[in-house]
Amino acid sequence: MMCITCVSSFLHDPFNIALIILSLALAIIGVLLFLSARKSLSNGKKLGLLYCTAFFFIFPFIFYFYAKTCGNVLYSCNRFASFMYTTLVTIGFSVVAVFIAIPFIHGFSSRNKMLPETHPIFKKMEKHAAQLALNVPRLFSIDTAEPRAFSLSHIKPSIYFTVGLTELLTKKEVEAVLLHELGHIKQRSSLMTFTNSVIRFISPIANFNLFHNELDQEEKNADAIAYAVQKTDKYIISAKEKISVYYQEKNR
Amino acid sequence: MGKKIVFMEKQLSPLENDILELLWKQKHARVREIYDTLRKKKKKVAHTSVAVFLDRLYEKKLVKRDIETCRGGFRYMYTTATEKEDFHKAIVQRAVDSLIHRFGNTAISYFNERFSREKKVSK
Repeated sequence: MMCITCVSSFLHDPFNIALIILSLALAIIGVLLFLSARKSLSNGKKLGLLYCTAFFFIFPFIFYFYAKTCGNVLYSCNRFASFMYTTLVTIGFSVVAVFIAIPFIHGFSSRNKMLPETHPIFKKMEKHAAQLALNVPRLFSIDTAEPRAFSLSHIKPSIYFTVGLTELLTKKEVEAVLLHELGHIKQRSSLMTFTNSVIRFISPIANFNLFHNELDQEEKNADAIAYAVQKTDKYIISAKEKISVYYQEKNR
Repeated sequence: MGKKIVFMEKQLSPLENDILELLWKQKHARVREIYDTLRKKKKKVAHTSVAVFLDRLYEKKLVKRDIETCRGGFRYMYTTATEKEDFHKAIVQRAVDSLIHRFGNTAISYFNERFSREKKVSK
């Protein structure tokens, strides 16, 4: 428990104060960087920045907890060991914190607009969700010309798609893409993708083959849902082709 | 040597130029409309290319866009960010400035010579 005397005795050590100030300063820098550069950063860099910020915010609390209880919980109380243990535990907490925070961050993003329940796309997805025995997910449009779509299946299941996607594809193709994302929500894919990205972030060796087969299978299963509902795979295939041509053109 | 000058000429691709010309003419247009007009002019262009090039123009801040809601979802309505004359003026200004910056008095005396020749022709 946090009591005033415990905190003051903890802060008596200049090493502890320096570490906490440094950690919180880095966390604040992380937040400011995220807010100022989020439009220009790639998704990978944004996610990396979020992990770092969460890490530096959580670190002082875990470090305090460890410093006050190390004699009881763990054997070693020297500085190096406490620093190492705290770092490892903080990584774990940060991963969970970011996983929980991601839907809220997307929900509050000014570039994302939630579709009203009266929108024809929402009505269509409501029908399809009922067919698949799912709660209808929240639908968000993202203000960017790149044709993309993704879903989050935890906390509040949501599907995100860009303005560029609905502009480039026909109605049937958009429906196929959204059904594909609904398929991911049914399989709870975001947990698998997230775990995969975290493990690859922590251990580059995992890039070789970890989860590749499972992720491929999830993609196929998601496509199968679009196929089952639309009774044809021509829309999901043509949608993927158009998206691929767009990125080829963009990267030329 | 003339890297900056070449850059000025290459600033817009032919398709970007065509799209801008079209937008100046029509004031505002959607991706599909621009694509259809270019196709009518027998330009070999794909719908995806028009979308990519419009996004590039948006990133260069030469066009603005607003989101419109439609039955199929959303789409952008593009308008030019500058008038045609202002855009051309800016290009000339940058080119002349860069020449003067690079070649100093040589460039200025050439411009004087060139303009006086132009005056004589017009008289």
